[in-house]
Amino acid sequence: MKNYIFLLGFILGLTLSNQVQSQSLDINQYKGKVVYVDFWASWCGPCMKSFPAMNQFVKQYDPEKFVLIAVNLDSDKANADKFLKQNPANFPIIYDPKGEIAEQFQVKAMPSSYIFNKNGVAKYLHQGFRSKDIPELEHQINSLLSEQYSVSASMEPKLESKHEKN
Amino acid sequence: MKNLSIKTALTSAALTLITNTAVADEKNPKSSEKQSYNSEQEVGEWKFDAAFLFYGEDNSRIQALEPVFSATKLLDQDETLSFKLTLDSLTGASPSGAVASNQVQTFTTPSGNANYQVNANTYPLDDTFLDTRVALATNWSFPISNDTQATIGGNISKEYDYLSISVNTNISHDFNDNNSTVFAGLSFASDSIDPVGGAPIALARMQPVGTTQAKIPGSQNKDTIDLLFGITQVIDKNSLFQVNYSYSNSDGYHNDPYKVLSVLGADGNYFDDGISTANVLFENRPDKRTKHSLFSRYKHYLDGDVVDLSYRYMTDDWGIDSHTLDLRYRFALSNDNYIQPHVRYYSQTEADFYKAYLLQTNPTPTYASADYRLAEYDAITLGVEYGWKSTGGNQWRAALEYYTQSPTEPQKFGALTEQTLLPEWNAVMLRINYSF
Amino acid sequence: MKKIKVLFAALLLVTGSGCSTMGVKPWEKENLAKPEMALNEQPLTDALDDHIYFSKEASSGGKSYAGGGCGCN
Repeated sequence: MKNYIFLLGFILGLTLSNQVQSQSLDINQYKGKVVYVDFWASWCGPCMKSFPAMNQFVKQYDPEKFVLIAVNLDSDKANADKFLKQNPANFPIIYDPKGEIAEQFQVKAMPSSYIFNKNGVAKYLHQGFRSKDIPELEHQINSLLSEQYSVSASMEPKLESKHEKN
Repeated sequence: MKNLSIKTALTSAALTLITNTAVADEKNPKSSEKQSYNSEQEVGEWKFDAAFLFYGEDNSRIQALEPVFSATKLLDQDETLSFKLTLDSLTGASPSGAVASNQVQTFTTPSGNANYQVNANTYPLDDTFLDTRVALATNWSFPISNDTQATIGGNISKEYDYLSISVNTNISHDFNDNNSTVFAGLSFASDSIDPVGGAPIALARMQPVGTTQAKIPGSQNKDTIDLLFGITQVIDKNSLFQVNYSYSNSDGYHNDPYKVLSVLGADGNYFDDGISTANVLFENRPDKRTKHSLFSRYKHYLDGDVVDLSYRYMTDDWGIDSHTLDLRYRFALSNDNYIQPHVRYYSQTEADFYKAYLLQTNPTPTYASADYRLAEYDAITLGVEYGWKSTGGNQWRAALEYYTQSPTEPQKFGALTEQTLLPEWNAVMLRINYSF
Repeated sequence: MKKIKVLFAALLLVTGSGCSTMGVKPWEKENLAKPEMALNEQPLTDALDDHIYFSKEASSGGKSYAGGGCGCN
């Protein structure tokens, strides 16, 4: 009987671990912070190169003001885990094996990074990664960090559109 | 519920972002050819590929040793500069085009300074063949825009009696979320041949040593334009296909100055015109050739294995049609090793002016060649390639291939029926590749 | 000649209209991104093969560039 329960638990565990549900990404919970969202996969060469840079961003910016979230798009989580063992990340990983979040973000390239300002407005999109992009990314993060956080605007994520700009 | 609204909001946010992007280059893998660049190669680094080929035909025909070395520098993420050096050392004998007969035949070497004899009932080979070729190619590939790539290249190839210089350019454009690539290429080549002993006058008779050969000294030229249009399309997560149309137009000297045709009498033997040297005429081909080809390829990833299937149809205004079917199956082994069997089938019809021999009684045609490569034949290549990684992660490949060419035997009569005019022949190819 | 033209036009039409419905999302290219799935995985091998077949057969090229550049026998 005990064995049965153990087996049941084991099977259940297996089923659960194999069914990695797409986690959701809520930018709103980071209001007041600059949010860097990176889409990556284990098989993407430039993604590997971007990891040290992203680790560096997390180290160099105040966690009270800057958050980096990486969305993994591997269909098989095991590949992502293997990648993370070789390329440790000091930032949270959200798993999106079916690409649902990527679909919403309309990701066009691997990797793709979206930088949101303190009011939850996506301000920059960066496709691909090369080491010479780092200064530009830093410049973008810095400019958003220096912007004021407006409490009223943070009630709902605000869209950057041409209409609102004018 | 709140999540949902935020997600929707994000979608539009991502959309509006497009006007406001800071787009860098290296993107997702494209369907185009550039995806092969090793993603681990850092900007500024060199990558080297070396290959060595041994090619050997049976019955002491051609043997070739061909080392190749190429170096590619990643100038920027989508920009490369490459150089390739090829050496090609040939020895052995090549079929002269003359037919075998039941009598010993004497031929004059191309230089006109010596002669050689071919035994009775023996396929005539010109065993004076010896050559070394050196070729240098360079290519610069660079992005024009985020999804358009261009290449400019040049090539120079020199052997003892031959010089070829070519320039090429091509452009490829990715679209449809990088699932489609269109490609257009243009190449212009200028070849010049300076045949040993001069270029024979069309269909002139070979003369004995010591007499004047009907040959014109100096070099002969040929210009070739090649155009290529292609499309590559990703079908699904595991497969893609490619279709190419290519056009080639060459103008100038197309003859092989060392190939001859036998002139036979009514009995099927060489016609005796009183000259001691075998009665053979130097070949003559049209001075223009236009080729069209359609090439399609399908690649499929199958649980770690790869199926690579291609087919080419070619037709030209010399009357040659050919079909080529090529299949490779790459079995993935453990540790990134693989074994890849390969089968290739090739079949061609003969050129309109292909003649296994000429008849003394018939008027001499304007164009005629007995070159076995212009005859009708099938060929099969069977091979296997094994790939493994060195401890440092560098790629090794070794391949062994076996090639058999089976010609359609031309019509025969009289004494000729005892001979094989176009014997089947085989070649072995051994290739080693190393990338580092 | 005419046959080829018609065939080519038909192919363009088919591929042109088919392309927009085929394809995958950028994050679905894991397998297609593998080096062994590249169309020019082995340029040196292709060049060596092209050179041999160019020397021994009446047809050449088609895959990328036509062979050439030698007076091979």
